[in-house]
Amino acid sequence: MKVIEVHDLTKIYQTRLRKGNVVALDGVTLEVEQGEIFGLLGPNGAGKTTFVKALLGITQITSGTALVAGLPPQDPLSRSRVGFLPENHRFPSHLTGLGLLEFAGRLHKIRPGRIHERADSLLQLVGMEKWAGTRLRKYSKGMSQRIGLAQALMAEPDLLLLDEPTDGVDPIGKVEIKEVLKRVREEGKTVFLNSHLLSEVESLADRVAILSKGKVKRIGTVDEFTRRSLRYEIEAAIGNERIDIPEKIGRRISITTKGMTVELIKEEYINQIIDQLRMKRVMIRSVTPVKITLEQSFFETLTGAEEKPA
Amino acid sequence: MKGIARDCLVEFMDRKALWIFVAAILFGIFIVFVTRSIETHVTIESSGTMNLGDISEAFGNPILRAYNSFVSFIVFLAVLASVGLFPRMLERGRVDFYLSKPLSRASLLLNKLLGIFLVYGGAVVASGLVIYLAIGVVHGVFNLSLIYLLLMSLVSFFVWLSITCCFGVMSGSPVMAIMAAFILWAAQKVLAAREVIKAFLDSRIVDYALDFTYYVVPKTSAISDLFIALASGREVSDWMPLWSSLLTSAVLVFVAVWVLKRKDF
Repeated sequence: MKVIEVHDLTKIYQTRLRKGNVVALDGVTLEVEQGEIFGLLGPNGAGKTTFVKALLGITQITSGTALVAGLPPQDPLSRSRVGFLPENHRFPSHLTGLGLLEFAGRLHKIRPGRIHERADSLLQLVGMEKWAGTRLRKYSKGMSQRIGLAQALMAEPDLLLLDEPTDGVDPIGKVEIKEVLKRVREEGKTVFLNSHLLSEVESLADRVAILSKGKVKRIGTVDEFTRRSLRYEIEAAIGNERIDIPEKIGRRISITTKGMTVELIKEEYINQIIDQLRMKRVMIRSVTPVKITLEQSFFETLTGAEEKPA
Repeated sequence: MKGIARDCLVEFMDRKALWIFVAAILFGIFIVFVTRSIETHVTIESSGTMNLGDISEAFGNPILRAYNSFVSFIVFLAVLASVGLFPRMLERGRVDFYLSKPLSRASLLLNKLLGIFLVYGGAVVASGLVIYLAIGVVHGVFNLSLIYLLLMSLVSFFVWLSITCCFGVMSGSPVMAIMAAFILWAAQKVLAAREVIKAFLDSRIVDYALDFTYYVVPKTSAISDLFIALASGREVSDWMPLWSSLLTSAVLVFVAVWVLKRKDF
């Protein structure tokens, strides 16, 4: 079941002085399935926050369609089972941590008895029970993020939209937030994650999209992003042997006395390379498909650059 | 609804707005006590021929006027204390919290308006009641018609609230909201003397423009006079200031909802 369905979504901000319009989203199309953690990546100004705000109806859509749980963002019911942690949030500072959760619960029309139960368990979950009675204005950035995550979870949401959830959180807090998100996924809920922290997304997300200048540059599973297509790392005692890779089967990326990296046109050509090495009596220790980090993949997608052959 | 109204109360307490009203009440009580000595003096001059009831009747109108001034002052304080609440709710980073919840923008704004009206209007009425009791205890005047002025204070507060709501939502700035309220207050004072202006400017167009503006601009001073007349037991022949002001308020609230619905955050 699709929790988010967006087709050809465009958002144009009209500047007040009519000096020109700003295209924040330019024909974005993507779908998010129930139960997955979806990461939206992109440089500053790519349109990530605008995208989330468009899903929630916080910003108006210029053209295209967006559906959240099958409903358009203009319908308040589309937000009834959605939790949202905004970036750079400023929750009502007159409230305490507990007060914020209770207020969020009331706005979600949760019955009073359930609000208290839920608030207590969430305060425990995000490790904020000691600070429940403290006003939000006295919270550090990390504490604000934790309580923000708790308020987003108040309505037991089917979809959790998080904009930079670990921003300002210490390393221990980051690990704890990751654990919370994993638990949310185990419960079959969907998590939509906007983040600059690529390692965080890599370790959490099932699928990822890269947004740049309002357009989706690439979309796929984390494995698809991090696996170099048909690139292999061969660990072998090559020494000074000359290993030729014919152009028709692929190219050599790098070579040392202890091994080499090749990129092939077809997967089966790896056997030809192995045959060549065996003919030359080179001891082969391992042949591994090359994986890159999501960070590398991200930069390559955005800049179009890749490693140059040796 | 209850959630937002309760939040308005929490915000009211946290902003220490309560103390503004407490200070105003204490000031009011002080004035009530000061005026008590004036009354004592009158009693001596009358050589004991006047009873307390006669004194309250003789001074009924001044008490009514003084009470009206106090209540108007409390309304002014309530407007000042609440003027920033709409722009603050719509601040970047804060509005996301509200708009991500399953309620429409119209219901968010109307609930906030109602919450502020109940909490701050409640503070106005409570302040008025305390001073009413103080007048009763000190001067022996328990004139129930003074309650009309409490009703007037609520109407007046609602009118000002609709103005600060509309301009607060449109501009996102408490300064702009209070400036708009001040300009409209000044305009109603000027327009109250429109017949004098008309006499100076011999132009039909200006006459129509002045009349039209007079009907459109909320008339809290005229509403105040109208309720004083009611409290004095006089007959009110023209309710226009009341209904036209309430109509303008309704339009302003409608405009605020319309603007908020179209706003991008």
